[in-house]
Amino acid sequence: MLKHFDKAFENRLRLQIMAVLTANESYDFNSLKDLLEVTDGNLASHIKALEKVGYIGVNKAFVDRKTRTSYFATPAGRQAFDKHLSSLENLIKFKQHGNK
Amino acid sequence: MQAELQSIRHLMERSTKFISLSGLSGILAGCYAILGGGAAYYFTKTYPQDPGILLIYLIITGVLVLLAAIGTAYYLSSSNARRAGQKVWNPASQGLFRAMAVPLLTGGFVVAILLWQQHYAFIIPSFLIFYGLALVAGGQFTFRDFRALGYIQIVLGLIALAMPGHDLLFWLLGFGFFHLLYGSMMYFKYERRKD
Repeated sequence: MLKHFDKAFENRLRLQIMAVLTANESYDFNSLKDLLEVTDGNLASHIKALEKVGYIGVNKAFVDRKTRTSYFATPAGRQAFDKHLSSLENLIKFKQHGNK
Repeated sequence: MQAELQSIRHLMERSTKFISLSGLSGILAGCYAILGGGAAYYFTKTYPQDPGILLIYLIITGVLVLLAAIGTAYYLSSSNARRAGQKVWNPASQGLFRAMAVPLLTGGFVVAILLWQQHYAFIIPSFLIFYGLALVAGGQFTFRDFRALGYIQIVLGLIALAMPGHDLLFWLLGFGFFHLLYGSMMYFKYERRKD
């Protein structure tokens, strides 16, 4: 039942980051920060963790001489996120039908 | 856990859709369009012998109505966004803007060319059709109802094209009445409960 529970998504913020990135082509750091209402440091550390397992990728572009860092979900990340969500759903269904 | 899953779904929705778009601005846009329509009617009655002046007055009226509607939409939506603790210029609103820009700019050029070529009868229908296309294109970046308003404008534009000589009626219906209707629906559905 829990075999698809992904350790990378244990943290709530990581799951939220992944949710936003799978729903969009890409999302930049500041917009992500505004949307999730978290601090720079907190967001950066969890992004790094997701990057490390290969679930998200980084794009750096120059806009008005400033770097604009945006992130996107990799195919592996999308797959992992989908699996995680459906295992959450299964767990809910399982609970609703009572423990057999 | 169900609440958690729901909040994730909500977040995915919120990150892709610009939900600060103000319904009140739709209502006001409808009012401007009706006022503009009234002014246009007055001008056609006052200067029937002077098509040059009439045309200029009608163009000025149209431009003023558009500017007022866009300005109001921007102002009210940004104050909505601020109240929700979000920026008005976020990835969702950028997507909305970009999706609407192509049909709107194309429509703008078409209307300008129609004016230049003196095909006045096609101006209001084209306006409605391209505006409707822009709403449909932008629909995926905001409330779903946005797209419905777009389909209505397209259909009205097509009917207007098939029934020449009723420009004022279709203008009042499309930009006036349906904006009022859509705006009030949005306002009561999404905005009022926040206050």
